[in-house]
Amino acid sequence: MQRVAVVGVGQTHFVSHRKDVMHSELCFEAVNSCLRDANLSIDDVNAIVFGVMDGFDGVDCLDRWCAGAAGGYGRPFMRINTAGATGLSTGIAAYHQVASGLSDVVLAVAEQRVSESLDAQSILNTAACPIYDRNIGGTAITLGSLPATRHMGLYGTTHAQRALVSVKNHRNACLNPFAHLRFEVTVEQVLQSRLIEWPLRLLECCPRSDGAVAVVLAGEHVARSLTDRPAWIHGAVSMADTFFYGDRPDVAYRDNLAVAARRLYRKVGICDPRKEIDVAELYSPFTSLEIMQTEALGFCSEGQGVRLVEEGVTWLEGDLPVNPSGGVLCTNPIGATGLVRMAEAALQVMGRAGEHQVNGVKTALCHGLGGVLQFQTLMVLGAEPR
Amino acid sequence: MDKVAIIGTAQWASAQPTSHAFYELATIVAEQALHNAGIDRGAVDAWFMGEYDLSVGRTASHMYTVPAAGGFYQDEIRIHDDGLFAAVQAFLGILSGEYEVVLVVSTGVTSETCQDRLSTYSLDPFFVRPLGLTEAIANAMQAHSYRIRHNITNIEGAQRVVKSRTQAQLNANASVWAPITVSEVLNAPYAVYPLRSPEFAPYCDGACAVVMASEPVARRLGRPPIWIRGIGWANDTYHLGDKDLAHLPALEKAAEMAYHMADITDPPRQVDVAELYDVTVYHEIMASEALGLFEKGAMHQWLQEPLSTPGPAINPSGGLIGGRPAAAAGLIRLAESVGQVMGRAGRHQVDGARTAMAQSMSGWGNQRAAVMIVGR
Repeated sequence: MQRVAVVGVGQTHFVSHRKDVMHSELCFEAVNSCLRDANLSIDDVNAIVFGVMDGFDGVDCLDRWCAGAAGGYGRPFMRINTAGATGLSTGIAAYHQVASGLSDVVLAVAEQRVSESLDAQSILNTAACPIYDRNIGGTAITLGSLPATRHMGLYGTTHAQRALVSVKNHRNACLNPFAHLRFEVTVEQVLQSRLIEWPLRLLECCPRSDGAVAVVLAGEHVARSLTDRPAWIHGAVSMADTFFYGDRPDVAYRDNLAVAARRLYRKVGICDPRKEIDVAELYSPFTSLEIMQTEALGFCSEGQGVRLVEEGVTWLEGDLPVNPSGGVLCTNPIGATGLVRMAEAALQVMGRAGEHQVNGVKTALCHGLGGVLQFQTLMVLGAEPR
Repeated sequence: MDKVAIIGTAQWASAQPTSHAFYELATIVAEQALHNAGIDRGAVDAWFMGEYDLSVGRTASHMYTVPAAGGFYQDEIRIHDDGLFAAVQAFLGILSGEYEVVLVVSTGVTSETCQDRLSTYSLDPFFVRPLGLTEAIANAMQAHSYRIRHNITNIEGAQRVVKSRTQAQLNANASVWAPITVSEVLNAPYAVYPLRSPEFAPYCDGACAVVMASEPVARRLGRPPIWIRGIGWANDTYHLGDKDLAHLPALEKAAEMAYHMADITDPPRQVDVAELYDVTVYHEIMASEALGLFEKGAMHQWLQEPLSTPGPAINPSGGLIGGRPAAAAGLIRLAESVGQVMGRAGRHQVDGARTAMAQSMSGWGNQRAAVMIVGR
């Protein structure tokens, strides 16, 4: 057992379609930039953990092709896929590998080229049972719209309140050079954008992005020798729930996330998340989900998520900025997205986030989401080892 | 280093396409493995799945299998590779101090799709996929290279098939166990030239689950646990043209790592049983040589039945020739190894087995390999 820290991150620019490079070259870009960031060479890396979700890239088991570009020849190599949660699961698997003491330096890499599929939704639908569930017309967006409707009914949340989340995240994305959608929007524009699935409008939904991200993790001894300011991993949890959406207590509550959060806070010794967490990078592909996630994570009480954004708490200058990178609403390379959250959280802790740096970050939370709002992954990083 | 134990296993296999949904197999083996371990679902901290998606025609297939295996409101992760890789990651999860008890589950329902056709989708679409290469062709190329390199005749290959089928007949969990003769093998149709269909491991439907526990938990349960003595896993080049096809370099690396951890310096003497991932009968030989259990090209020396020959017993279960349920096949090698060192393998029990080794491979030209050594 040993303490573990993030010592470097690398991201590609996220765009709709990276036509200029192949899958393996895209992976190489992120890995190279990550190793440069950590001042390491691939020879210093003991093992690779690779995350991608199958189906979107025009290639099955993309890890096999990208293994070389990720530096995986002649090295231990582990392939992760937990649907949308893949990215952070990849980070957690790498964390366990270093914490086990078996490896000192592990590289976590995640990539997705959603552009290679003509229609990502038709691929996502193959996850559902072909006899019972596949033909009911549900989509990934339903997972944002159903809870949004329920939230409106229960707490009187308005379209304009949800639109504020979009305004905030788009503004943040303009400060993040790697973000996919980099333009500011107004509440008016959000409300007038095309209706996607009631009540969600275009600017309340994430794009589909191409890109790759890499994070390098090191054991305590190596981490201290590499940098004065690593991002220490305090703890991580993941959480599985039933596939059957109708079996959940209520679509407006992210019950599984609340349980996962409580377990994580107990593990890392957080009593008051609102006070003790300085910044959060959440897997929020829809405005509605960000609001509900902040409630489930205990940043406010149930139904009060809109207050946080209305009162400016979750804005970049606020008390507890949420998605200062622009988040998933502006960049979503599905299987890589969770690892982007971890990379951004680490950058915030290391004080190297650039223009979207939050002042004085001591503790950062990152989150991954997969399946039918079914898999939740969480990790806390801190400026001091725990 | 802390110790990790295996406290229960379960296997399920069927030669006929199963009438169960693929995730129901996860329930069957998870329940049975927990029962065999003498614990209930509530004692499990985390679920480690080892499964491929497209082999059941779906993306994110673990959305169904994790809850079906009992993974509900607890930690989960899915390794998108052979089940033995999930076992490796599970072992690391326990060593990291994060978990006390974990359940490793792997399902392989190959009857849902055409596995060989599917394999072409993991080839890059620009350079290699248009060639029409499939996994079976790649494996046959490896087998053929090995045969030429070491002057192995097709009769010797056929004798290996007979040996594996004979062993599979003793294994209640094998799905293909019909006896076969050398002349039947030699007269069987070619699957991929120059290999005939019985020389390939036949796909089947199956599943496997393994329960692992930290040392304190394993000791508390009061039964003699089986300890994981060493692990190794590695990856090699994706491009077939970049390597010597007659070798398995990833497996050599993985073996080196596992032997180092298990403090094994003389594998032929210190390993009693090896359960190998024989996608063709020749891969059984290549693997046993890559693991240092026999000298390279020395196949002629060990054509006898594994239960009676001196040295490590190779695939007493019949190996993959007895059935290959995709991702579950490697985890089944681990369950078999555990069965051997517990002395509960049944009719294919190797006398006095104290140390056993499970091995699996995946990818193009078996670019990736995992090894786990277990012992009493």
